[in-house]
Amino acid sequence: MAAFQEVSPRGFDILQQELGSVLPYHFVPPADGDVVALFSRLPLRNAHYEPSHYGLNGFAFAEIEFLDHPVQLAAVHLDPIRTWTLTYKLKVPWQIVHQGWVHRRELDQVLEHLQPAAPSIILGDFNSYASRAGPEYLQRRGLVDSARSVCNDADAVATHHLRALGRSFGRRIDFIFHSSEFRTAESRVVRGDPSDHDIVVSSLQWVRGPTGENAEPKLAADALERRAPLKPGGRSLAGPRVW
Amino acid sequence: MPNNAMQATARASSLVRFCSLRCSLLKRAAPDRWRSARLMRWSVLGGFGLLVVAGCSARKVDCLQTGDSVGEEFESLHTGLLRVLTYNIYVGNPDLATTAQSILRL
Repeated sequence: MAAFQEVSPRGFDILQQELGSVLPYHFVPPADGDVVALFSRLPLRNAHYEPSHYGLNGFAFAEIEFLDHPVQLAAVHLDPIRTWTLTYKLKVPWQIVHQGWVHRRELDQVLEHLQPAAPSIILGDFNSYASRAGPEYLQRRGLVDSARSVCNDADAVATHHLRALGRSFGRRIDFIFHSSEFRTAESRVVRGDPSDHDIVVSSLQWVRGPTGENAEPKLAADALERRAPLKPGGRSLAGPRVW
Repeated sequence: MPNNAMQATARASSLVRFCSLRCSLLKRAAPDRWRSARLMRWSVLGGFGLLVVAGCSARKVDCLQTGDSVGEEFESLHTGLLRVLTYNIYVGNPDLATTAQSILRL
């Protein structure tokens, strides 16, 4: 499953053409402008879009069924620090002070669309340059920061890069959060040129049923046959991968 | 052996010879200074060793190192995984087709 931000109508056509064979299910909001889009190998149900009440962008919601479990998806693009007009530039100090509040309100709006006890994945561009309020807000609500759950140095790896005054800056602003029904088996940041963002990829394993019991993922018979022990070095035979 | 390597080997061996000569002279001329120098040497070596051990243990997993390129391939660690990805493609991305192809290889 892939969540993309800043998808223009033309960009969506290209993505659909290139990814359609592998990720045949997609959702692109009927809104104007550059939006959040979802592509998936599994059918997307109840897909809908909600523009942000507090920011410039919006949120895409959908449900998938993974290993017989319904999973809620929310792809977000939280409000950025706006600098592209003189007025915005003059307001930067105010935006910096205010950003945490805006992001918390935006995530409140997202959480209103999700059932609290259901398996969930919230991912996207959190634009958390001036404030870590967004990621911290979700962590306080029991969601797991996927990369941070497997890597101590997760916050040290920038996922967004910019250049100013001849110097490079960067910060980790793209996140994948999941509920406790999942465990992150692997997380990785892959360079995303020519975008100024990198790609964040995580492999999530189902570890708990809806009632809280530990449960082995229900794999297809052929997948179980192909399951192989980890090789030295941490790599395994590739099994069925579900986007 | 290439010239550069021969020169480096010669320099290293002459440095070792110089150090051992200096140590033996110091040991013979001033045994007290020799003892304190030895203590200092072991202290420096021990401190360096501690730093190395601390650095290695602090590094939990190197799984979040940035890949060399968008197209870097990797295999799944387990079967039955849900792979999720987020990517701000950037509205002015001039080569989205190539980017999309690379995403498929992730």
